[in-house]
Amino acid sequence: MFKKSLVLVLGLLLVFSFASVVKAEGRIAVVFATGGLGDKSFNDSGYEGLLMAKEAFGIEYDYAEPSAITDFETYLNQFSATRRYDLIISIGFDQADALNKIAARFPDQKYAIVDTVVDQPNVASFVYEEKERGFLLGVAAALMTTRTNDPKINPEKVIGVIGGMEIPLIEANIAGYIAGAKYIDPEVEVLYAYVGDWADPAKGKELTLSQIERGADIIWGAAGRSGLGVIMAAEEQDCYAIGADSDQGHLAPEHVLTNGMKFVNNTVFLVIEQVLNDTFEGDTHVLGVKEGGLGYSKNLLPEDIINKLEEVEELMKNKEIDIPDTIKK
Amino acid sequence: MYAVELRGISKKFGDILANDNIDLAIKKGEIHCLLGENGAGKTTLMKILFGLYSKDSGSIFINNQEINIDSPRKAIDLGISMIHQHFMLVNRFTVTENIIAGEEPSKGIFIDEKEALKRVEEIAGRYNLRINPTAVIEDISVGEQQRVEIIKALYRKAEILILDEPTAVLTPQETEELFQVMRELKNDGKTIIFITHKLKETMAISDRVTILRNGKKAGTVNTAETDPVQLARMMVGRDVLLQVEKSEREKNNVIFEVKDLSLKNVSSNLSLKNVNFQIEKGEILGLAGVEGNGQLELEEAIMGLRPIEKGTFILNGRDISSFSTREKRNTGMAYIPSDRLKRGLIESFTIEENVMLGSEWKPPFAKRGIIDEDKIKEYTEKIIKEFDIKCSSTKARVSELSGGNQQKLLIGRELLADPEFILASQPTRGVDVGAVEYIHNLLLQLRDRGKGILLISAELDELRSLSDRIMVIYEGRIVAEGRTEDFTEEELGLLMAGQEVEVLQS
Amino acid sequence: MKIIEKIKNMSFLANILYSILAIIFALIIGAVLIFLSGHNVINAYYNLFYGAFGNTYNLSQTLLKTIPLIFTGLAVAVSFQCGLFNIGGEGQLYWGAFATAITAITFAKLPGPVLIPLSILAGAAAGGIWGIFPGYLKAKTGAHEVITTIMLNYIGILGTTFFLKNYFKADGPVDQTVFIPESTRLKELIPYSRLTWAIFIAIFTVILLDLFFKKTSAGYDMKAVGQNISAAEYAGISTSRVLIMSMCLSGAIAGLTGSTMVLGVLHRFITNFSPGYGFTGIAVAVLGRNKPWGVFLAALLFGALEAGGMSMQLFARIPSDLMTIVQGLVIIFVAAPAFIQVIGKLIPVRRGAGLDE
Repeated sequence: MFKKSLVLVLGLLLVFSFASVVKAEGRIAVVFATGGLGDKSFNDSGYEGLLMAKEAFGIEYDYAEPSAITDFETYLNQFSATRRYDLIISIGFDQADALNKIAARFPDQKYAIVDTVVDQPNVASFVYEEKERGFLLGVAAALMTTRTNDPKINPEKVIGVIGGMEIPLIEANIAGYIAGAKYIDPEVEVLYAYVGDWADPAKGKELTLSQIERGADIIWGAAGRSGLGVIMAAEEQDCYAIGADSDQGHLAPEHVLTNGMKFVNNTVFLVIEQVLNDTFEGDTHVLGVKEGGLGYSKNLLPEDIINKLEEVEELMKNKEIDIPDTIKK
Repeated sequence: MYAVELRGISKKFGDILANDNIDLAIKKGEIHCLLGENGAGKTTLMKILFGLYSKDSGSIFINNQEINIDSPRKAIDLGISMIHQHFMLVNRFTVTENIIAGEEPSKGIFIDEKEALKRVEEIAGRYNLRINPTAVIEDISVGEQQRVEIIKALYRKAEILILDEPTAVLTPQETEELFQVMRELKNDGKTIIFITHKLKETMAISDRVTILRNGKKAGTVNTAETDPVQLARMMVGRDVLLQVEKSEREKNNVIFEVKDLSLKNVSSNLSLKNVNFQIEKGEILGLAGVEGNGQLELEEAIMGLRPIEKGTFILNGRDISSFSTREKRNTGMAYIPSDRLKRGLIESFTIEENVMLGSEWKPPFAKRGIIDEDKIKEYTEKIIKEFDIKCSSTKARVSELSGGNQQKLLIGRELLADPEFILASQPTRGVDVGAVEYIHNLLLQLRDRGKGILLISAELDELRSLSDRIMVIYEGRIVAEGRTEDFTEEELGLLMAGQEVEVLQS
Repeated sequence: MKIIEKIKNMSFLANILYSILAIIFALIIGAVLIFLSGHNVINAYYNLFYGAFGNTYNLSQTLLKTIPLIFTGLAVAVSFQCGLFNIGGEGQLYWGAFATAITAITFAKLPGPVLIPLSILAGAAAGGIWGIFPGYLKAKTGAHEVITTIMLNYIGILGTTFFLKNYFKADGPVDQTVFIPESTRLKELIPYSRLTWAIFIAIFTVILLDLFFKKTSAGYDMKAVGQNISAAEYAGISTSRVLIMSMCLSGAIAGLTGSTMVLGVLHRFITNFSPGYGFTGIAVAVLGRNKPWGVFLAALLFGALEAGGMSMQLFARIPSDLMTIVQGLVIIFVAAPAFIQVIGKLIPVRRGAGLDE
């Protein structure tokens, strides 16, 4: 008897606790990447996007921080099964398998995924125009390498980039980087190399050191966790590193010149906006500078370089710059 | 006037009543024996007196004054000292440093070494405690270490000395020397409480005896008015035969032989050198020696538990040197290891599981790797009945058994396969008087049934009453061998201590 | 190793009672924390329980989370029984998962009823082989298995990654193999739950191990070596063989973790798929007092906490950090009596020395 009434009370409480929020318009759910909030990367940036959307449109949101990759499917399923969300967002490419299954199971539910493509009619996939980001960073690095009054800069006009693996995505980044550098000064030499691994900071550092030896004073690490080695090497040899994907300035505040950003916050904001405006499309969206999906962070960049970068961004938005997808051999 | 009076002392450990309402009165200036079997509660009672344990109830009077002793510090201040079985000495310090530690005579901020040495020598001289005050502890013998402990107590002005089984580690000569010291102390007015389970020593040294049995006091008697038989009865609670009868034997075939056995124990740096002996059917060969002179190495080598340098083992005419331990046990050798809880039994296992140990793959205990619990239960019950093992059930854990019952279980298991040769090492160690009697009779029965037995023991009385022949081991060598009646106790004691003795060889 | 022994010796029922009290105690403290952080306690706990047991789907998620922990818990328990501490479950389960996935992909033409057992066997074998190394080193050189298994974890995790990347990687940004054939995927018991009959493989393993330790000579040998290696040696047991065997068995069971994850849940091998199942297995084994059924119950508790914790996060909006704290509390309080008991047991042992004189 006691047990029954307890369950009843608990049940009522639950109903009330939901009753207060059910009315709200624009309910968004987010499944973050493993690592959770506080990662100073995709998750935190995505969360920022949620807050921006809340500010702008007054949306309600719920989110889940999975502790294992097997949790993705459970969370996506749980969110979907409530049928109360206007949009469910997956942060990060490793949710592709799970979302592929769940999206097929709930065809009326709208989904979005960041940084990879899930081919389902009810999933909006957001990927990035990598070469544009590379181009911006190439511009910044080429401008910086001539400022020899900065003690971290040497007289040689050499800059470098370390790629994670030799795949089209990274190659596009590097091709953009080279094009950006040459756009500023055709004499700038760009060194590039591949780690062959996303998670080998030691090798990343080794490759960076060899580029520094060959005269590079600004090196971009487009190499996942291997990129940490780039920052370490730059700090050790007192030159500049450029971070990737999120603001890595906290790792070496005096040596991270800028970061090639993927603005997950803008992406999240964008797809929420699409849903609310009824312009949501279950398709692949390639975001570039124009859409606010890519860019750079200011960090240690001098004012005049930032001004120049803003100029270049304007040109890009108007498609006035042609950037190659591959490296010219 | 009583130096110490304990009234109604009780102490419980979990469910076990270690001391049950015990009264004890010790006269000033007497040597009082606290006699009892293992687990009778002797040490517990004395640790309460010394402030190491708190009592659950009862009161303590020192010189007719009720005092609450809650720490050893307080006991020492009252003039009580306890010398434990395991000495509390710093191995790398000298004798004098150990004695004065904590109560150093000082000159300014420095230790007055001359004064310290003088005081130590003065105490040692007065009670005839032979010691070199500047020797380092790790270099001196166990007997000498004991003397250091005694001097340490006297240095702290002890009037009441508690000695916990002090003779367990001594040779007969050293024991006699200790007794001499105790008499000197008594003459000087000191009170001595002597914890022991040995009847002979009780009779030899004490003025009065208090007997404990199962945590209860069984009585206090004047030594002069009692005899070992009465003491044994009070200890065990029934009549005990203290002397075993040994029948005459004829010469017989050799059952087990060790030839030229040599080995080196790297960890203890002790070597066995050219050990040779033979054991005939129906014969008990005793191996005497102070512990740590190669007995453990010998027993382990014989059973294949320790690698040897050279040597041959022959069982019943068959060379078994290359046999594994299991093969040896399967070919008619039984082994009662000196450390039964380290080697022989698994404490956390049940009685049944222990009976299985070593036979767990063999029929009838197991078929094709599947254990037959019914058969094991059957055999276990047989052993329990035959060897009179007291236990709650066949599923009781061995850790719940008393030492004597553990030993009987071990022996029962080892004799199950009807072996021809039995290596019995310290078979009565830590075993109560009743079980000692039982085990002694059992070994003699086995002998009479034609088994060969190698008996390794630290108890000279046991060796002398059971063995047909005796060998003495000293620093890994067999230094003497002969018929039991060829040696006197004194001669054995000297041989064990490494002294040359002319022994009549017949 | 003393503590391990002590934990092993406690009575099963008393432990369950202790554990239930401890869970209640932990939940009370957790309630205080939830209250202090401004959340609704009743709502939180309602969701914790509802999320773990409330309906078929939730129950299935609890069991889904339980499966890998049963295997890794058993793996640790098996080595504990033999006096060894296998911390290498993580490396072993990666090899198990890898071998299972590669077998299923390579022999895709074989029919499912043949290929499924074959893949599972491959996983167990791979884990077992990975367990033999530390076992051999322990038996022959005395190298401490805690050190060697920890080191072999790295080699196992990175080794599978190496082979995957160089020989078996599917296209795309994720380091993973292609999907295993449909025919090798274990059937779901409840639609969309991902709970497959892997749960029965797990329970079957529990039963088998329980019998192994109670009824077989080989199991007896392992326990004897674990309890008193000198006595086992004296009894003629080949202790080094038994040590190696137990690590092999332990590794094989850990390998099954990987097999069932690949065949039942992931349907391919993915690098870094394990959130530390091998390490959680240690806690599971300690809570389960290294008895197979104890491990089963402990794994169930962990599974329920994780599944319930997910609901708590989603529907009671308890941040995942607070949820982790509540889980941690339950673990600490369930484990704490064990340590209290251990200490309690150690003291009478010392006093016992006085009793025995």
